[in-house]
Amino acid sequence: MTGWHIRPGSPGDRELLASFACADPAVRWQAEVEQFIQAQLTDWAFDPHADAGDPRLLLAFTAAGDLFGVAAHERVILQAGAGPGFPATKLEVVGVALKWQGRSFPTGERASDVLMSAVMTDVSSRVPPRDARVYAIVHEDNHRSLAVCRRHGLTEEMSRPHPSYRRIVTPHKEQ
Amino acid sequence: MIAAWPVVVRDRIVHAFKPGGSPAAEAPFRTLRRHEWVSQGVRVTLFADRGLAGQLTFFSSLNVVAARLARRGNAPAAARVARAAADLEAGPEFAVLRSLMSQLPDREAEQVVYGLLPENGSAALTEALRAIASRTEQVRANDILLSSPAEVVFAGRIAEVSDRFVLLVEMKGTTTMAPLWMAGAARRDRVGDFLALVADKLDGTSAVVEAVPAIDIDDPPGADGFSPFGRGDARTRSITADDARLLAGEPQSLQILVPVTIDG
Repeated sequence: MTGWHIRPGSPGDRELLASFACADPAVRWQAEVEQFIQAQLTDWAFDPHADAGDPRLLLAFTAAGDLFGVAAHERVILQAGAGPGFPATKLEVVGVALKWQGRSFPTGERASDVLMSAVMTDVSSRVPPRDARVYAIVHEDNHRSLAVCRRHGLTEEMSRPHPSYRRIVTPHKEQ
Repeated sequence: MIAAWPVVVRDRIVHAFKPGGSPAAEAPFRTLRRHEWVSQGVRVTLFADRGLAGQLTFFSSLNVVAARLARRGNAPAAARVARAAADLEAGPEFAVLRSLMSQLPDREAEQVVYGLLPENGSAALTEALRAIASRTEQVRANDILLSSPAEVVFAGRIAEVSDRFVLLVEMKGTTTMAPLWMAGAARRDRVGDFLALVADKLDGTSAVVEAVPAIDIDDPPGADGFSPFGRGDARTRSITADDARLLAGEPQSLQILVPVTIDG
């Protein structure tokens, strides 16, 4: 038996997410993540007009039932102007509860690694299958998230969608 | 940017809630009120030549969005957006507009709500409407559901007018056409006018398309309006030619560091 329990989210989790704390309120980009999870993630995940992207919400609990992590992803098309589109999975959000940031389970696994592994497992198991192309948009000062993404294979740098945000993607073989 | 007119009359809200019904109907509006899916609005006392001419109540255009959300069955989001509308209506921008409108003759004040500024209107009135439109667009930009694929807005300037259509051009150059009668009903049917077309999804193959007057505003402040979250900002999906060359290679298998089972 593991020290955690992962399940898909549901519309009924709105209240649970409304109290999820993962940010220092004084840091704008952290507060932005927390605000999204608390106030908008449920709507994002269950918008009936967004089904085509197969949005997924994952909740990670300790064995004792505490919510320690929240993650979400969906399928999108990355496009350069009128050129070809590249199907990819966008990591919409990966948030670890404040009291679990930097912590590990008694068996040694970092909470952040358990959560990211859950996301990658979920992406890999979607039907119809998704391309093995996963990217994330991370604030340039969010060093902790950048490190977690790197550990889980998001090692290639794409263009920035905004000067303050990096966009990192899983690797591709050179043509 | 070009934004939809930021204030509306009650009928627009009812029409968004019950597109097939009479916009003047009372029952739908009572339903919206009962569930707090509409704000209280702002009341202005109007005057004519011979004195008091009655009162006019107008609303933040966010109430139209709330009504659509209510129609689609999303009660929490409808209530949330209605609260945002109420906050706007209680703010200084609406207070300025209310004060300026109370100084207008009754017919001109009504026309303002419908999207027409008085010919000799003050710059202050235009700026008051711009300020409200800017705040409205900030609220929309910060809310995930308001960038839902269920509602598409095409806002631009009329570049050509024929006997049947107007040609509408967005700031980024994309064009579309709207029937002249629709543009006229929105009081925007001359070259140079700002007009918005709002496509409100009903189901997979049909939508209600509404022509509304529009106004030009400065881009909302703060991170250039960028958010890494949600579906509304195309920058999160738009890539360069160099990105495309990177992605054209075969994706390598995903790494899973910790064996995890996902229930359900």
